Amino acid sequence: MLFSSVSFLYVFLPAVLLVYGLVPKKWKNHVLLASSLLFYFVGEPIYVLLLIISSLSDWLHSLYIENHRGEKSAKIALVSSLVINLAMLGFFKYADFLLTTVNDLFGTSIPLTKVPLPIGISFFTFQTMSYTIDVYRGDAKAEKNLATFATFVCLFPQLIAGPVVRYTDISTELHERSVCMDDLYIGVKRFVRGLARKVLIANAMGEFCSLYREAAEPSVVFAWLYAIAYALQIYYDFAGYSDMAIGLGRMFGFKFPENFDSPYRSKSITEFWRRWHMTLGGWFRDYLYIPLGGNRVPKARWLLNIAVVWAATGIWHGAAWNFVLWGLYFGALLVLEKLFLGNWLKKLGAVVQHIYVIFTVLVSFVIFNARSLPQIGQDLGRMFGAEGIPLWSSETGTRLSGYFLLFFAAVLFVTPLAEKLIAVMRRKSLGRGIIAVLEPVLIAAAVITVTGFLVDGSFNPFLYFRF
Amino acid sequence: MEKTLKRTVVVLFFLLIFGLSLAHILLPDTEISVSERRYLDTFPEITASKVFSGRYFTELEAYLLDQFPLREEFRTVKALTEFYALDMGETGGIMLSEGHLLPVEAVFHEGQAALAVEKMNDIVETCLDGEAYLAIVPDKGYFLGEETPREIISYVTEGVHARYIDITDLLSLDDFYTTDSHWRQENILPLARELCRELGVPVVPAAGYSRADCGTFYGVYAGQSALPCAPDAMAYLVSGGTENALVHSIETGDMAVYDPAAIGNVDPYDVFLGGPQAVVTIENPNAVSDRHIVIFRDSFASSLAPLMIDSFREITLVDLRYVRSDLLGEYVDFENADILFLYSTSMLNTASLLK
Repeated sequence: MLFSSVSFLYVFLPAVLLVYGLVPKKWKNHVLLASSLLFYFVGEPIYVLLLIISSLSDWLHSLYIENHRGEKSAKIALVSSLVINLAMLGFFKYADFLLTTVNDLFGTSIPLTKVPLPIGISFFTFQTMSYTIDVYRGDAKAEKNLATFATFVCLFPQLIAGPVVRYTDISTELHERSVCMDDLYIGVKRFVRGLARKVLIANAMGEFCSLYREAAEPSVVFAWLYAIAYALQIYYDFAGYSDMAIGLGRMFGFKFPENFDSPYRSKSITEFWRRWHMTLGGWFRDYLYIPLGGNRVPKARWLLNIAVVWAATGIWHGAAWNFVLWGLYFGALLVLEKLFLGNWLKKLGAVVQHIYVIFTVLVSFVIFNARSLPQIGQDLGRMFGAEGIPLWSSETGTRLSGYFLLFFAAVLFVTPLAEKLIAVMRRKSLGRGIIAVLEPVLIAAAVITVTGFLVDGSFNPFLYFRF
Repeated sequence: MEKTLKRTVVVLFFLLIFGLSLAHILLPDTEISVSERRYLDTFPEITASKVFSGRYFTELEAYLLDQFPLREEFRTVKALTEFYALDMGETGGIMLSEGHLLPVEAVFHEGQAALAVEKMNDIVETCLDGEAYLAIVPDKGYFLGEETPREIISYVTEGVHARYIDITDLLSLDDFYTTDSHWRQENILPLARELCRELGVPVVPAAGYSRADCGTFYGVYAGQSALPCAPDAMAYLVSGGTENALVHSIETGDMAVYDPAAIGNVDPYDVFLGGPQAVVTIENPNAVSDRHIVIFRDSFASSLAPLMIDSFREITLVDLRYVRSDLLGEYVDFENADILFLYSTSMLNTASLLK
């Protein structure tokens, strides 16, 4: 089930909010667990068993680890838990990728499994793995109550597309939480903001990308516009979904970690990755990069660590070589920045730094969105006039004029301008008065407009489902 | 003030989601969307296989979307946002130009046009017992300078073994409804008379026709775009021929040339010759000639053929979207009959629909 669907907005959410609000405190986790399983069942009727098995496995392993702390068997239990999680992920997500690669390399014809990818498997396996590791390390106490633990794993606001919430982030709230007017206000605002970002901007940018793919008259400018549109689509899509998740969590009394912090304002790729998909970056840092030795190792080993972490980051996003390339591309940029590029750029000033980030990120998302390795070459080549395509075409003009305001709005909202304006307004009493009137009106208008788009629209993909 | 603002935001949000949710439950389902000319989804039947395959939830979402309270109004919100707030120039694939709603220019599908050419040439080869003619109705975009209709006309006229009668100069954008794809019958009498002359039959004086109004309607593009717009007025032209002709459809039997009450149908163009029909014959013993013409057509001919009744003893209308061409011998008598292919450019660009 998508958050940006009529069945979620007008059936599931009101029903869950109503029941959750009515039941006594001790039943609230059970309501959340049952509704989360239903939420997953709607999208994946069979794979809901996988979710249950995963929860049960990690709950049992962690209890064992806690009861045998310091013993060798605790380590064996940890390894067993990780193997089960990684085997699940490996089979459902990477088996066919591996088989295809083997077939391509050796000319074999090993049949593919053709097993469909369970929605959100990369998210929930990473969450459960971090929990077991935290219990092993002593950073978290093993949860005794299976229902409470399963509520953490299955919690529908963050189940299928993150943020990658760790048990330690919400362990207190899993046992004791309350919802006040402030939580509801912040939750509603955040949820509606995410909904509008996803439905009004990301979907429209996605349509523009489709128009580029179908273009009869591609041009260099059209290729760049496509790159910009896709970078905006993926940001508004994923950041919008994270907003919705964080907002929903807040409505039920959970404070999920932030996942995006205006990444396109960054002045380096290092900074970009501190602002983009922060919970995943944090996961790889704490559970892979640092255990590998981080940067406190000889240079050659450090370079290997970077390569491993970024190849893993890339392939986490999808079982295809373009994702591996995308991850390694960022790994290489990060290494270069640490070695010399970062200092060079600082000397050149903020404008050059921003141009560098925008350029490298646009290139990265062209790689990310390619359907095959040859298409990476084609898409990037077109941005620089390959295939003899013209600089401009009448179709480019037609499409740009149709989407100009959307581009303008989408770019405007990734700059700090709107936030600064609101901050200035909040300092004056007149400004606060205007906000008091405008905010409810804008939120209601956003819900109504989004509903209009949902009721009439058929174009509502969600990019991060495949991860 | 802060406290009031927070309460207002929360209350508004909950009112919207709970209110619309409740309205969805309480309001009765609607059977038909008149603006979209289709039946709306009904509540899906629950079966174990559908639930466990996930199909049930897909059907449920479709039902919820179709039966959403104030659905038309919400569609209009989207249309207004796209068209005016975002200035996208189109909504739902429909644009507004010179006061007319019309689809965004389609790409020329040469393969489709080739299918049309092949189909028409097959008919010429197998059925023709007289002369063969071809006339093409340009889409509204033709009059706004679009290339695709021109490409289609050029391609098809070169390929079909029939004499081409160019009717494009006899039309202008004003001859079409503003919210629909079709032409206005009251505006095409000169075209019909010219066509008859080209087909070699005498024409009756234009004064022999009187205009009758049958009300207003919203055309297909109004429904598709959901943009607020004024309805079109529909009129039809009556003559001795249209009053006395005998009209027979192989599907619905005998009928009148015009059915003004059909303006309330899902497709208001049903007013003319009963709308979409596989084979319709129109006999007029008082016609000024004893010629028989078979018109292979789409919906444009429904309003054109009545204006040719006074000139032909018999007109047979064949819509190959509803009858297979290899079965035509069972329903149509081609002996001594001329053939006219009368298709719109959009039909020729989607010719795989022709059987």
